[in-house]
Amino acid sequence: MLAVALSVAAQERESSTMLGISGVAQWDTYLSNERYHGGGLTLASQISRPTHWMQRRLYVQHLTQGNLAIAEPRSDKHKTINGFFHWQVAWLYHFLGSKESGSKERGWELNAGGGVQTRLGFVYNTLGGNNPASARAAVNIIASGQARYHFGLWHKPFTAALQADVPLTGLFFTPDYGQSYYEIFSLGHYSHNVQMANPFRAFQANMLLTLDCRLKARTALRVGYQGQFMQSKANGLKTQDFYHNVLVGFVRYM
Amino acid sequence: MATVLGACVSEDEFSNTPQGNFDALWQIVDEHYCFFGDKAAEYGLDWGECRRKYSDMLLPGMTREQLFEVCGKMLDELRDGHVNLVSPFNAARYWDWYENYPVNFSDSLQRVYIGTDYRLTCGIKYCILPDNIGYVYVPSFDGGVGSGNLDAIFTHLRLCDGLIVDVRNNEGGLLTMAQDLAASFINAKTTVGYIAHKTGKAHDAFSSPEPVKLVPSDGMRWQKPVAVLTNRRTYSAANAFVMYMKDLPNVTVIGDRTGGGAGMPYNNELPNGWKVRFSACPTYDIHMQSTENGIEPDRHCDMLATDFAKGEDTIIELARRLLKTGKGKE
Repeated sequence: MLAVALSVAAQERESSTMLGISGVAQWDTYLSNERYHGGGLTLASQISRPTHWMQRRLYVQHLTQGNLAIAEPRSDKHKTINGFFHWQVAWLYHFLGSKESGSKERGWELNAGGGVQTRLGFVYNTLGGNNPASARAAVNIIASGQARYHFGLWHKPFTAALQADVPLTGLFFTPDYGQSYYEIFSLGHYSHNVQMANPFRAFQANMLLTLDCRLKARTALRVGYQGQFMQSKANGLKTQDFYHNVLVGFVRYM
Repeated sequence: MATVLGACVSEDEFSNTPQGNFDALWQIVDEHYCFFGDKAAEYGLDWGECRRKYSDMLLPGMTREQLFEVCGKMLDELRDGHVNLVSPFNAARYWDWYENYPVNFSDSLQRVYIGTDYRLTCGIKYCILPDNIGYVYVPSFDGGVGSGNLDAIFTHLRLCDGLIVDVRNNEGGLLTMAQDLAASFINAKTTVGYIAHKTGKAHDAFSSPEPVKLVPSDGMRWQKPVAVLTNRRTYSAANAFVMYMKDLPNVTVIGDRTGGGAGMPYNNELPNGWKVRFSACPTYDIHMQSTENGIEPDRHCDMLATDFAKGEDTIIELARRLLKTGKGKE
C-alpha cells in the first residue's frame, strides 16, 4: 500500500498551499542605519509536475509566495512595513531514486536543476521624510537542488524534503546612495539603478524544509520551515531581508 | 545560515549610550548631508572639528535632556532649517533663517483683503480683489492638489487682469505639489532648475545635476501677469516653487528674500529612536546657483508699519499696482 502511494506521489502533479508565520530581520541603510526585527505572515503555493522531456525525469516547479511583515528597531519608536512577492520557476532533473517505477517503499530522491526567480517588494518606514520607502525588484537565474526522503511511520507514508535555491546571477533594482525616489519616478532621472547581481554583492538563498504526511490517497498535510535570505550591497547601500517562516498547509496530488 | 549570510553584508552598530547615539548622529550627517562644501565656503564649517568640540561635552551619566542639548547644539553648526533632531520631549531646530528677519506677513491684514467668504480648495484660499486682481494664498504644499482643483481656481479667476500667488509663510511640503501649481503658468516643457544627489559617503560625492523639467498643465493655464509674494518664511518646497516661477516671463517675485531650504530632506534615526532630519539632495536654479540661502525677489518690499496702521499690506499693494500698470520685473 505504501509503495503504491509513493508511486502515485512521484508520478503525478503535486500542488501545495502553505500559510506561515514569519520572523523577520530587516536592514536597509537607505532608510535607516538601525536593524529592524518583527513578524508577519506568508502565503506560498508550490506546484510541481513532470514534463515529457528526458524520459519524464525532468520536472517543472513553480513557487509563488507573498510576505507581509511589520518590524521595529531596538528603540521600538518606529516601524517598517515589509511586503514581498516572489515567483520562481525551476526545472529539476531527477538524478537519484526512481520517480517512475514506484518500486521503493522508502529511500532518497535527489533532484537538481535551475530556473528563473523574480522578486518584487517594498519596505516602508514610518520615519517618513523624502526617503520613506525602498523598493525591491530582482530577476535572477537560480540553481536549485532538492533532496527528498520517503519513509513510513505509524502506517502512513511520509516525505521529508529539503530544497535550496541560490541565485547565480541576475539584475536587481536599487536607488543610488542618496538618490530620492522623487528623482527616479517623478523626474525620470536614473543613476546606476539596475545592478548586476552576483553572490558577492547580492548573495541570496531560499531554503525550504518540509515534512508531508499522507492523510488520504490524494491529500497530505505539510509542515515546514522556510528561510528566505535576501541581501544586497550596491551603490554604497546595504540591505538585508531575512525571513524565517514556519509553514503549515496541504498538498494535493492530481 | 543567516549568520553566515549576515557576515557578507554587515556594519558595526552603535551602542545605545550617550556616546553611541552621539557618534551615530555625527556619522549619519557626515555620510549623508549635502551642503558641507557650501557651508565650509560660506562660514568655514568643519564637521570633524564639530565632533571633537561637542564630544568633549559628553559625560557617562548625563541625562537624555543633556545629551539632546549637546546633539542639538552640534546640529546648529550646520545652520540649516532642514536639520532637526526630534525626541519624544523636544525638537531641535534652526530657525534663524526667518526669526532674524522681518515677518512681512499678517494674517489679520490678509483677512482685510480676502474677508471670510473666500473660496477654499485643498487648503488654497482664493478670491477676486476689488480692482479685479485675482488673489491666491497657498499656505503649504503639504497636501496634494489635483488638476480639477487648479481648474476650479483659474476658472473662477479667469477674467481678472492679473494674479497674485502669495506663498508667504509657506514652509513647504511636497515638491510635486509645487510643480503641479507652477505647471499652470507655462505653455511648453520648461527647465526650471536642477537636482543632484549624493553618490557616496565623501562630502563631495555628487551625481551630475539633472534638469528638473516642468510639463505644462493639461488643464487651464494662466497667461496674464503674475506676482509671487514671498517672505523669509517661504521655505523648502515653497522656495522651490519661487525658483520655478522666477524666470518665467510673466512672473514678478515681490517681497523679501525667501528663506531657502534647497536640500531635499531625508530622515534617519539614532539607536535611542530619536529621529534626525537633514538635507540630502541639493537643488539649483536654472543658472546652476544654489538657493539654499534663499532667492532674492525681483522687487524687494517690506511691510511698512504706517501701511499696517492703515490696514494695508505693503507687499500686496505693490503687487496690485505693478499688475495694474504692467510693470513687472525692474
